[in-house]
Amino acid sequence: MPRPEMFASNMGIEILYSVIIISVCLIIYFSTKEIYKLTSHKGVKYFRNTFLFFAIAYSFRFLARPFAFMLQLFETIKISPLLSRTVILIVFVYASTMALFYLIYSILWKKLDKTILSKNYLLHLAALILAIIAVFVKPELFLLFQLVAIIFTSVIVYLDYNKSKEKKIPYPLYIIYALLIIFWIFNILSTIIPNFFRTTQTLLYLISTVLFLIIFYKVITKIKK
Amino acid sequence: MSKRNRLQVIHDILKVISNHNNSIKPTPLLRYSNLSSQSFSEYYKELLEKELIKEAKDKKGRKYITLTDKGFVYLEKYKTIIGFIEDFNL
Repeated sequence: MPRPEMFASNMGIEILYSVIIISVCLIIYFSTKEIYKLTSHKGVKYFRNTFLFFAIAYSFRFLARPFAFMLQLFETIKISPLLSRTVILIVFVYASTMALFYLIYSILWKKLDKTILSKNYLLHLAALILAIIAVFVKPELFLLFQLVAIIFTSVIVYLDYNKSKEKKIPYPLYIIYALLIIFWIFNILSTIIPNFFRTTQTLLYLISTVLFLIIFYKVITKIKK
Repeated sequence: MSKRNRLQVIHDILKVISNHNNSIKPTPLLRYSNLSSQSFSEYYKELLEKELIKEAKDKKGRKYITLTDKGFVYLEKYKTIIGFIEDFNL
């Protein structure tokens, strides 16, 4: 059982981390609204949705944490918090999978068939099934899926970059995306399995925050020009 | 010359209208936009739906096309939009 002062300190870090990331994601989402309204550009749509779903995922991740702490603090109340935590975890994993799907879509949409792009509901369905598998059956399957998705996207992006070097594709951005997803997986692990990264938690939060802030800075400077 | 993308074509159509004191008839607009009739119709419909342009009639009932406020904003922000899309490779 954690000590109350440790609980308060951990919660303080959690609140700060969550508020920063959720704010950054929502600012990216809303600041690109005008560009999307003017152009109806699919890439912009998927890019915005990525950050909307990241904001939703982080909000539910933030809610999932206190439940884990509460369960350890008050061992007598078990059934209701467990049930609530399950629902929160399902929404969290669903939203994080959708964020990953949209990030992949924002890079690859030009190569995808229009009929695939129009069947958006299949993405939501797949994300929901994955969330249920991750929470009720095996978190490892979900992790494996995320890793396969990252490797697949990385290979496509690398091949695409090699083909069109003259187009000055912002390659460092892909590295940031890849790191963002890797650290996001660590985030998921530490949420599904509490205390998974107990010792390196602060470092994990710090790197994730820096990655989001880099994207945020790039978006804001581009839009303000 | 490389093929114009969708955003560029929209920009060029809006620019033609703007360069004609924000008032042009459909036929010269089709000519200046360098598109086939079919492509022009599709873009024209899209621009009306998105409220980037609007149709107006003069006293003799002749149809004119003008930019809406949103159309002017598109022209103003075009470079920012393209810069954003290219930078994030969207």
